[in-house]
Amino acid sequence: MIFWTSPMNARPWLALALVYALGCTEPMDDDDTAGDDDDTAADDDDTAADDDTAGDDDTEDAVALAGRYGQALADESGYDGVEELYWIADAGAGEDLCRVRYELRSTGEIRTDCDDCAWAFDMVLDQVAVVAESGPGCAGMGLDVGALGDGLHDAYGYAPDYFGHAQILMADAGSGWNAATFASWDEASLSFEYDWEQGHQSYPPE
Amino acid sequence: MRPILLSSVSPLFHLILAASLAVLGCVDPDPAGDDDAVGDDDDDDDTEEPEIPVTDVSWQVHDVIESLIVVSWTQLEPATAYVEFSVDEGLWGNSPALERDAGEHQELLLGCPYGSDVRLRLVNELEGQRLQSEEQIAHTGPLPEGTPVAQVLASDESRWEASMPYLLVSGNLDRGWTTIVDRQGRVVWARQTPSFNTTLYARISHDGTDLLIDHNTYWAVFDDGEGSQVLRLKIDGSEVARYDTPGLHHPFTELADGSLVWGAADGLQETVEKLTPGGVQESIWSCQAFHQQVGVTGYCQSNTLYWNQADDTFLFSLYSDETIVEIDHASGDTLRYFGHVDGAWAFDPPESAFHWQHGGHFTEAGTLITSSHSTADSDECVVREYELDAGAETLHEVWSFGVGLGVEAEIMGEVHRLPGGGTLHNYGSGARVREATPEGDVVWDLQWDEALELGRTTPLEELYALSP
Repeated sequence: MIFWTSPMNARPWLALALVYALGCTEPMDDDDTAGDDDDTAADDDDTAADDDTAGDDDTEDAVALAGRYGQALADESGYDGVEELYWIADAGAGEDLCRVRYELRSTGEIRTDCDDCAWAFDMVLDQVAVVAESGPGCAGMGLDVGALGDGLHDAYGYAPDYFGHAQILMADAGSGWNAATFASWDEASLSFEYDWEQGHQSYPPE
Repeated sequence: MRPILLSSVSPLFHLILAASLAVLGCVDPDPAGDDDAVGDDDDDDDTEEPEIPVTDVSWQVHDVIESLIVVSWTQLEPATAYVEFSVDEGLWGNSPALERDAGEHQELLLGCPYGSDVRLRLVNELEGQRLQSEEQIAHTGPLPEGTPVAQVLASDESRWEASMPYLLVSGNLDRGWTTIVDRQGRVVWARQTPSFNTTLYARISHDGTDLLIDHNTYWAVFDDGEGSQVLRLKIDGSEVARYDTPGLHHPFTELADGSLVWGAADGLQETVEKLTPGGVQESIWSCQAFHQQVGVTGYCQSNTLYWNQADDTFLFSLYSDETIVEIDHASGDTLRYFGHVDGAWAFDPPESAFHWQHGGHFTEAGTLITSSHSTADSDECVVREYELDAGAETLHEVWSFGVGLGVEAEIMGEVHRLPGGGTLHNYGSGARVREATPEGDVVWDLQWDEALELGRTTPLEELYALSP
């Protein structure tokens, strides 16, 4: 249901298109403990002698945050929205290395096999466009934009009360429904939104 | 690193003997009752006083946890040494008084808020004399960006629990966080959980010397908790150990032998798992079997796991069933259960029944206490306490807090009975903590950003036990 094998099952067609250049296909282990140099706001153990910032002489790959962001109007009658695939530099704090946008719409009748869902549909995408690109660009992040044009996409659904706790985007890449990420849906306005951070991906520094 | 060299000696001479030195943080008064400092009004002849036998006193902000100040010095001769420090005017705390040999030493200053000035002075007790270095001003680092910060809505120092100057707080605010706050709501320790994990159940180890922090993947990447771990940390952020706890989604606890026990998701079902100190994982209890026993067909998921050391049993709170199950550790048998499934104990009166309960455990008095919604259809979050009547298999409500006050929490919550008889109520997604007296008066009230999903909170009496 996602574009590569983190942490949910991947849709094979896009997995093949994308996994090639993905240096990290699972949520990155950025545990901040003594001895490692993964920085977070709360755990910035860098010193002058250990400065992992742009411009230092590290030869290690840089890290991008990869994910997909979507907005739509949706209810039991259908889904009509847009989705953006993104790769953001500096683990999400930098500029867009690649952002691709397409229209995402439901196709066919509402699916009834998602037990937790208020609504769920098969999806098709269209009108693919690169809206931002820098550094290694989309190709450098392993995305074959042309391959998106076949129109296929994971099925999406909305679970309003997942295990009694949360509003969730559900996705089915062909192997069954799984929780994907937190989402919000306003029943009055039909507005649906999610930001599905899917993993950290390394890429060579420029 | 901002080292500041202090003068090596103090001109001051004190005859005050510190018979005992409590280990206190920044918020406590000077335990020795000693208000001497540079600028005191002693009129004796300072030039005749002995000098503190130390050199090279300096401080720096800790590299990892920037609210910690690291004080370094060279001891020229053995002495009982400690650091006195103060953030708030007139309130002094001190590091533990330790016998220090001649040589280089370091000490952490704990309990100071981020972004604060800290007055400090090194003290030696030597041959019945108290000797101190010149006073210095250190500066803690800035509050990490994104740290959840609370507002104090109510505060009555004269009536709150005196043995709880700090509160360990975990929760999720965009990212997972574990913090320690003082009674003024100031953050004195903070750690952000790594990406693609969250933290909901941070706690103190059974022996009180470590922080146990969950890296929960269940509610971060929705992997059924496959990648969940628990970390054992010291207060300086150093990692002592890391444990795989597959399936962890909410609660875990530690036993006296160091075993970790947690509720492990397995799709729609759940088990209670134990990881021994030797690294062996054992399954203790199955919710599926319990559901078969009581005729429940829905999913199973827990939110609290309490170990009753006295009889080696667990209370396992299943929010999915609105039921708390008591489990025998050795046999894995379900001993009794309270709540809403068939065969559960009754509530007296019936309207005292708990709903969407969280944090259930036995108090030292033997009562069952839990956070709860006030009714089945309400998000009003209350505390209910019951006496257990085994003969009648009935929970008799003996105390409650919050009924009719309208403070809501859609999900989560927790409660602690405090040593002085007060009660600390955690409102979960209501992002609020309130302390109530036995009479129900609110004597402390902290409110975080409403987006914070407040996880486990733990009252802390002091911080130095968590030192490396």
